[in-house]
This record gives sequence, C-alpha cells and structure tokens, in this order.
Amino acid sequence: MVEPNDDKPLLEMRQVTRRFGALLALDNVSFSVRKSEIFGIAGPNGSGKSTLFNVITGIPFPPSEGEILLAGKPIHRLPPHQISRAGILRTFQKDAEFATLSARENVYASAVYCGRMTSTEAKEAADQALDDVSLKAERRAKAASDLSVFERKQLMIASAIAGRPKVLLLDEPAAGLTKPEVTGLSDLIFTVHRRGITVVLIEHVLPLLLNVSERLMILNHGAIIASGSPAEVVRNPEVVEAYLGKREARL
Amino acid sequence: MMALHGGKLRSSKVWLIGVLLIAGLLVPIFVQDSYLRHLFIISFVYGIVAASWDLSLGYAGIFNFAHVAFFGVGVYATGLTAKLLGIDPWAAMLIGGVAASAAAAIVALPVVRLQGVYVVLVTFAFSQLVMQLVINQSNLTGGTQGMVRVPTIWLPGYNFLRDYKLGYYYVAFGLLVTTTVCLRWLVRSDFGLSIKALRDNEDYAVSRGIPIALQRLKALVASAFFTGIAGGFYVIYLRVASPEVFDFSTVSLILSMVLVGGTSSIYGPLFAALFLTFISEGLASINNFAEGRFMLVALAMIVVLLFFPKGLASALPAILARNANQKRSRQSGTALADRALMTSSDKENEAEAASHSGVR
Ligand SMILES: Nc1ncnc2c1ncn2[C@@H]1O[C@H](COP(=O)(O)OP(=O)(O)O)[C@@H](O)[C@H]1O
Ligand SMILES: [Mg+2]
Repeated sequence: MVEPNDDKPLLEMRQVTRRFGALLALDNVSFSVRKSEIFGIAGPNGSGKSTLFNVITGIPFPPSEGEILLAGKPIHRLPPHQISRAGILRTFQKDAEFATLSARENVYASAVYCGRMTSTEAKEAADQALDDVSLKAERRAKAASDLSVFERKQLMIASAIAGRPKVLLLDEPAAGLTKPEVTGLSDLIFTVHRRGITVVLIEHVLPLLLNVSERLMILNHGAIIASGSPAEVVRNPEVVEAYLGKREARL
Repeated sequence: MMALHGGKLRSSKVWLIGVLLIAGLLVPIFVQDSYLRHLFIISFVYGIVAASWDLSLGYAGIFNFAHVAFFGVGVYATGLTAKLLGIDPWAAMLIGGVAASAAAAIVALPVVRLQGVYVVLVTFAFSQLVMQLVINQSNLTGGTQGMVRVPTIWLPGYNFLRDYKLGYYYVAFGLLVTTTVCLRWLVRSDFGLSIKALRDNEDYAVSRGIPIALQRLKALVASAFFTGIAGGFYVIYLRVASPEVFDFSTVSLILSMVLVGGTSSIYGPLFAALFLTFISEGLASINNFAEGRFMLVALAMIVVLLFFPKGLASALPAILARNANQKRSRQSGTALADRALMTSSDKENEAEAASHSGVR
C-alpha cells in the first residue's frame, strides 16, 4: 500500500471552518487525501459532510476560515468554475443534470468547459466516458430528464470522467438505488479509480462505503471524531455512539 | 450540434425554411401596396427583437426586462449619431448595435449575480432610467416630442424614399435572415450549450467548469446587439424616434410575441412576431381601436398559453414528426413513436416539463 508519493497529499484541508450565523457547520477541520486513494466520509445527518464538499468546490460558498490546497496549491480563493477546472469535480446529493440537454450533451459540456477540450476531442471523450460507465448507446440522445435513476448515476459519473478531474467528490451517490444497483455503482467507482482519479466518497450506505474506501473519516457536529482504516474506525467507541448508535434500529 | 437528427424531421425543416425564404424574397412582387409593405418591414423588425430576446430570456434563462430598452438604445444611438454627428446611416445602424451591447454590459454587471425577481427589478429599473435620460436630454433627443428628420440610408444610384419601400423591405428582410442565421448558429454552438446548461442547473454547470457570470454577460451582450441593430434600422426607416419605444405596452407586446411563439427555439418568437404585428397593427389602423389591440393581443396570448403552455413552437416539432411518421408508416407499415424522431433540442420544452414532474 505504501507508495512513494503517499506523503504528498493531493487534497489538503487546513483548519477549515464554515459558519452559518451561530451554527458551526464545519469546526476547524484538517485532513488530507492521498493521490489515487478512495477516501470515505461518513457521519450522522447534519454533521457537515455536504458542507465540506461545498467549501472545497466553492459551490455555492467558500470556507469562512482555513485553507484548501490541491497538489500543494491554494484553491480556496479561486472562482468556483476555476476550482472545477483545476481538477476537483463534484456530484450533488440531490440529483443534478442538465435536464433539457441530451445525455451526450451533458457529458460533452463537461469535456469542453471543464476538460478544456476542442470540439472533436470532447466528442471522443464524451463517447469514451459513456462507454466506460456502460450507458446504452440508444439512450445517449435522450434528454437527461428521461433517464432512469441508475442511468442518471451513470451519466453523473460519465460527466465527471469527461471533465478530466484529479479528484472526484461523490456526495451520497447510492441514494435511491436498489441493492443490485449499489453493486453496479461500486463497480462504477472502481472504474473511475482505475483511471487514476482520486475519489472522496460521502455515503450513508455503509456496505458500499466500507467496501470501497481505503481510509475512512467520521464527522460529527462539524468535527472529525475518527479517521483511519475502515476496520479501525468502525471499532472506535466514539463512532459507535455518535453514528452507529443512533442507527442501531436500522442496522 | 451533438443531437442526432431524425432524417425526415430535418429534411422537412429544411424544406420549410427554403420555402419561407423564397416566399420572403417574392413578397414585394405580389405586395405592391406601400402600407402592406410597411407592415412587413415593421414585423421583420419586431421579429428580430423577439428572436434575439429569446437568446437571453429563453436560452440563458435570464429574466431580462431591459431588452426593449436595448432596442431603444439602438434607436437613439443610431438616430443621434446619424443626425447630430453626420455619421453615415449604414454605419450608424452598426453603432446602434454596439451601443445596445454596451448598455447590456452595464446591466450585466449587477444582473449576472442576481436571481429571479431581482433580475426583473434591476432590468426594469434600467429601462426606466434610459427612458428618463432620453426625455430629460430634450435638446438632443427632442424629449417627449421625439426626434425628427433623421437621415436615411442610401445606395449609389438608388433612392430608398421612392420605390414604395421596396429597398427598405429587402434591407429589413436581409437583417432578419442574417439575425436568424446568427442566432441559430449561436444557440447550437458550445456557447449555446453552456447557457442552456446554466439555465437548467446553475450549481451543476459551475461544477463542470462553466463560468456563470461570463456566459450570462455574453448572452446579454449578444442578444442586445441584434436588437440594437434592429433599433438602428427602425429609426433610419421611420426617420423619427420617440420615447414610446420604452413604454410598458411595447414591452408587453413583444414579450407576448416571445411567449406565444415559445421560448428556446428562436423560430417561435420570430414567427409569432410576424403574425402578431400584422394583427396588432391591422387592428390599430381601425378607428378608435388603437388601445383595444393590446387587449386583443393579451387575450390571444392567454388563449394560446392555455393550450400550449410552452408556446406554439413546442407544438410544431410534434406535428412535423407526426407527418413524417404517417408517411413512414404508410411506406413501411411500422409506426415509430413521435418522440423517437425528435432531437434533444426539439424536445427541450417538453423535457423541461418532464423534469419538473420527474420521479426520482
Ligand atoms: N446554506 C446553509 N445555510 C444555513 N445552514 C446550513 C446551510 N447548509 C448547511 N447548513 C447546516 O449545516 C449543517 C450541516 O449540513 P450538511 O453539510 O448538509 O450535513 P450533511 O451533509 O452531513 O447531512 C446542518 O445543520 C445544516 O442545517
Ligand atoms: Mg449531505
């Protein structure tokens, strides 16, 4: 597991804080994600997971305090679309697509504006990305709003791949999927990973999270309460109390 | 651009456009009456204004209520430079376009960061501001009396003022066709894709590297340019300008053209403008009915939007597809679903409706 560039973090948070009035949604959070790993994030509802993705991407707001670095360079002062172009692509907890554009146009737009490709390159990249996620060819000219829930997940991943990201931030991608579809999703995540893209995954569906993550971090009330290998983290008593404890009934 | 076109649908579209182009060129041969020709010319001007409004309002989804004011900026910029500075009226028309774009860039500064009703407020306030400016500077603009004796265009050996408006007809028609070609090209380009993306989902668009503020600015500036040129032509043609162009009744008339025609199609607003101009101008020429026409146009708008909430343009692809379908099924005995023939861009309106009712 130990690679030569393990000590050089790809994505680094330094004392990141985000306030909403009196509420501390992120409380002095510091951590780093290594190149080419799959980094999992979990925590109860309202613990600040989505807010973390929001401040990393600047969509729709930057951190109140702290620094965020991508490959050693600060990015937290860049305009949001520049952060995307710098190599951080995200998905949203609520499904997001360009509803009136076709699936192929959705992916193409990402290749052109995020991947900065020419029209010809972008068309190729779009088809390649759609092949990678195995979205059926006959579905690609459909408006994104006509796709099924799982097809939209495929589209979401394809549009991310086509943007040539260094890091992909996935916010609860398994929401709304059936069990076999969750398996399909973890295959998609491994597909992304095999392309050399670093993945940060927020997930409520624990089997998926534990299955794909190499390292895991738990947030509660905006602060990190545990991090390490999935096996270590799930044994941590504080985690059991804060996160698993509340969900005992469901597990 | 990316869309896979149903061959039949596309070819019937090409045919339709070809026929309309030729018809447009032949009109003056059959229509000799100078008042009727005048109606055509005015309808072409409104066609440009309505179609170019569709770029910012329909495609970019900006609630831009300053579009008619940009037209007015074109009117006065052209009128003033031609009359007071003695600039060649052809060039002055171009100045009208540039001035309207400049005005749009100023409006864009606050607007690109605002949303919904705030955009309406700012753009509307801007329109009022420009109107007040025109009225106050009466020694230049003629104030509420309007500006008169604006010099008109000329060509070597041709006098536009004779010939029962034949020359004006072709200039207006040429501007309309050029504008339509440019607008269609724009909305089908990568830029067009990016503004539709922003309209569909702003946060998602930014997360895919699309710069919101810049694309909105470009959409406003481009859309104003065409309407500014139309304004320039309007004043050069009529040779008078009046602050009436800024009136709310003008705004609502042209807005109803855009909505009846259906946004995000360019063609919809364009043809609705041609049609409604004839109706409203025709009605205006009836004695004592000058004001009633606005009521009738409003009524027409309500009726159309009741049956086609996305405007008439949303009905056309379905009708064309059905025709193509019937032909095909007669030939091969198999019927294809209407939807399969439609391209993504033809289906935009429909898809938008679907996305709102879509099940997750
Ligand atoms: N835009 C916002 N304005 C005010 N409060 C917010 C905003 N976004 C998130 N919050 C609050 O911040 C906390 C963390 O939210 P979030 O990051 O969405 O949690 P999670 O994704 O872990 O469920 C919650 O208490 C939430 O109500
Ligand atoms: Mg969340």
